[in-house]
Amino acid sequence: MKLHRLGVGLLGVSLAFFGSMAPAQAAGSITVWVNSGEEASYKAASAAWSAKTGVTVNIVAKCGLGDCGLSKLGPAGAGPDLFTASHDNTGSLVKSGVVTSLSSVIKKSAYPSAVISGVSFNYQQWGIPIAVSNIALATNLSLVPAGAPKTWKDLESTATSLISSGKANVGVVTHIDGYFMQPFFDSLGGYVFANKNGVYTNTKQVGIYSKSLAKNASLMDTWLEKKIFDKANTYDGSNFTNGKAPYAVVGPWSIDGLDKAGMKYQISSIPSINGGTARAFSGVTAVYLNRFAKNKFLAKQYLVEVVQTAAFSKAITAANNSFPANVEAASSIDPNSVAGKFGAYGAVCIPMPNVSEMNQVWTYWNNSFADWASGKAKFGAAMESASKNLNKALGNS
Amino acid sequence: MNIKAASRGSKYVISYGVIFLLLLMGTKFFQDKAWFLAVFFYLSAGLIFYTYSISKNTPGKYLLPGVLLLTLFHIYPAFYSGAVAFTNDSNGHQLSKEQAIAAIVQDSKVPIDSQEPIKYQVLLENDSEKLFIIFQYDSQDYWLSDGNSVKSVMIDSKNILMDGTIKEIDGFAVLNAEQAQGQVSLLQNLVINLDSGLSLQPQDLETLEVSQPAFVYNKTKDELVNTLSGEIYTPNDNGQMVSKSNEALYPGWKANVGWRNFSSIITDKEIRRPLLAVLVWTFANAFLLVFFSFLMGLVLALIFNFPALRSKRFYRTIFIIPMAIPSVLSILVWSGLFTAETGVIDRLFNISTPWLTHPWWARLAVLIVELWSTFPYMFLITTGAIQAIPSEILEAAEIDGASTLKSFTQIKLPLVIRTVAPLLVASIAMALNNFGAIYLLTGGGPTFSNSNGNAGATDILISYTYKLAFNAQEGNNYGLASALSILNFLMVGLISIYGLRKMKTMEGIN
Repeated sequence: MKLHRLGVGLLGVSLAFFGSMAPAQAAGSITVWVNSGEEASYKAASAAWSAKTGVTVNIVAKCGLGDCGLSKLGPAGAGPDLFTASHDNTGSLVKSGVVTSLSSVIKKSAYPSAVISGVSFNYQQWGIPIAVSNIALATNLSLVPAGAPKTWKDLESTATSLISSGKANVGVVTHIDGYFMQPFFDSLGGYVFANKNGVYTNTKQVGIYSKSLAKNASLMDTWLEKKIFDKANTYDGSNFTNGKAPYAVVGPWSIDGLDKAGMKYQISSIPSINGGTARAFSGVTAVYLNRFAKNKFLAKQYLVEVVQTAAFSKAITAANNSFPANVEAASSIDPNSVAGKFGAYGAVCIPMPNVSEMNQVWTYWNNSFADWASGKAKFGAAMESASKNLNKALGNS
Repeated sequence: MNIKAASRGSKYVISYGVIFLLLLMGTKFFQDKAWFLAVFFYLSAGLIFYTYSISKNTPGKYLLPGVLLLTLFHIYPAFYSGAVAFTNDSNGHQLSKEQAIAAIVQDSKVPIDSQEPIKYQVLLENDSEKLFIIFQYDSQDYWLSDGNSVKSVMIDSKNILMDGTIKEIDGFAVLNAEQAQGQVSLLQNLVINLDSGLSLQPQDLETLEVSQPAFVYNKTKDELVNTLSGEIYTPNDNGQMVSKSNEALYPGWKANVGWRNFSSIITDKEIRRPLLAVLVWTFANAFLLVFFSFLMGLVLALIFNFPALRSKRFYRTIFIIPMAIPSVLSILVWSGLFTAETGVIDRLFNISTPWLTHPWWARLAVLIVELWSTFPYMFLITTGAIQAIPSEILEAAEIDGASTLKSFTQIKLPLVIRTVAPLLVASIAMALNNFGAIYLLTGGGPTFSNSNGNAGATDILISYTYKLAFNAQEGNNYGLASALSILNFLMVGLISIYGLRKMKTMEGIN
């Protein structure tokens, strides 16, 4: 019986103790979700500010490129203060109400106008840009000693002769989807939405099956037949590193792998079929402020005093081979370095659309590319159906 | 101290430890305002205390942990997803109505650049300990606000320092920077709406940002007014503010939509069309798989029951291997084997087959992999069933002059099927829910090019539901996914009930 009484007493004490326990105050600390694998560089770049102000900066590795489940976690109070995301999510982040405007924080003069338009939506700015990244062409120098192709003809003839002589399995190692095929798509005259220098306002005009694309579509079928693109659509990077493919479409994220393989390669822009340059999508990695952040004041202070500086942009991009979004940091990049080459091509690329309609675009567009690669449809027919379905889904009649 | 007393002592330590932990969790959920879980943990702490310390009811002591765990991990999630099925929970509809309207107003604010930021100070009212801020705006007046109302106050000039900050004020305590930091969670959500239409909001611990919101919310009429265009937005039944011309504002909120998710499965062509294809494949996949794996298991069982065969045990052990390898590993290996052109299978036969990218080849690939991982089970149960057939019956048949074929079709097969029929029904129910194989091998692909929910040729209902909820590029539609998972539950449930019924009638035959 004594033990029973002890139990009742214990119950009472624990109830009183925990009942009075106040929610923990997170004063003096902010949490930042970043792309996993990049936490070390963010930590290093925030350390000095953290030491100066006494504010703890918790860098947490998360998916870091999209919504990361924030639309559910944010309103429930389980989100971070700040998070990195690729700028093409801006529209859907704003529409789901999980980010808050940074118009009064951002220093617009520190960034190129294309970068600013990337993080803008509904006439407000929502993210502080850090890095610009885009795909580019990598040439295997041991297979193509002449170096990067100057024209599309150059690329096509080199690839076909290597394939027919059995030296190569495929011409260009690439994912066959909207993002990776955009430069080729662009050079055929296709586009996602009508835009002016990458500012997208009219989602009514879909150019996935534009007149010019319809005319040129059969070229893509020929290239697939000639194995310039790989039907298997698996992005077999080993083909490129083992010298079984002359070209590959790569991003800054591929560079470490290429260096580790110990191969000689050259980064360049992608030539367009009608001369000039084929424009890939450029993506801006930016830091966004959670609407339900626990510590907005410190988060904004961190954005102004750390994220917005040229040094931060430079430190983060140096670690992942991408190009700094900050103008001052960008000017210090050696144009002959890998990042410099990506940046030089990036300067002529067009920003990836950041409107929330892109979600539907990716679905239909990627499906059509997959249908084409698997031989289910010719390129023209695949894009026609993507365009038709997309217009229907967007209510463009 | 004898052993009995010691064990009793440790019993109390353990049970009070558990109670303590449960109370701790209850309090945690209470603070997070998760009412169901808070009540559940408090209640289970009480029940455990009652059952193990006061009650003399012995069966209860054995039943209670199971019942509590069942409630927490089965009944609660089931009811939760059931409840979600009646909402429009999806991307763009995650906030509460108050949050959504506050977000619309806040997002429409345009900072007024010409306006210098206003300095403010934080006060606590002495009696109520309520938070106020005080600031100077419009001429030299001081204004006092708690976010709900604004009023002008007179400050004795001797209490004002040279730089305009206030030293003290009657009835309030003036907080210094460190104390104000402690109030940051209240301050950062404070919004002061002035009669002029301007809005003031702290942007750090010292200054207020002045901005002009385009939208004003009228609480009594429950409508948003766009002050620039004069357009009026009212809430619709899908959790959004819409104008007369049907222009919807984002973000929306989570609203109760009744049976709409269920009815849209039937009435919405965009949902129905991919779903029908998915349903057909779900059933085709389950029945084909069970049929073929049973057939394969039976044939192998017959072969490896042949008396003259040597080292039967060795072969039987070999056949169990697919069951013993974790399916996550083996399926990933299979997907490598199935790679077109460069994959092992295509190289072996020197063919180029679009496994995994062509609808019919992908379906075949899924069936092959599933067959590979399920036939050992069928092999085991049919072996057991065959061995359980009394040898007298077979001998009697032989004496009566039955051929091997006849004794198989007339005696062995009916007896085997009678034994394994309930297991076959259970296998079908399991195959209907075989999420792992589909998800890991094809991800449900190749996707139908016209499906808006990313449905693909090899998607079964549960993998399609998963895509709708967590993986759709369209945005996550938890409401519709929950409705579909209820449909899936009914489907599997009905088949299981049928199986159980069948089992009973079989018992009757025996």
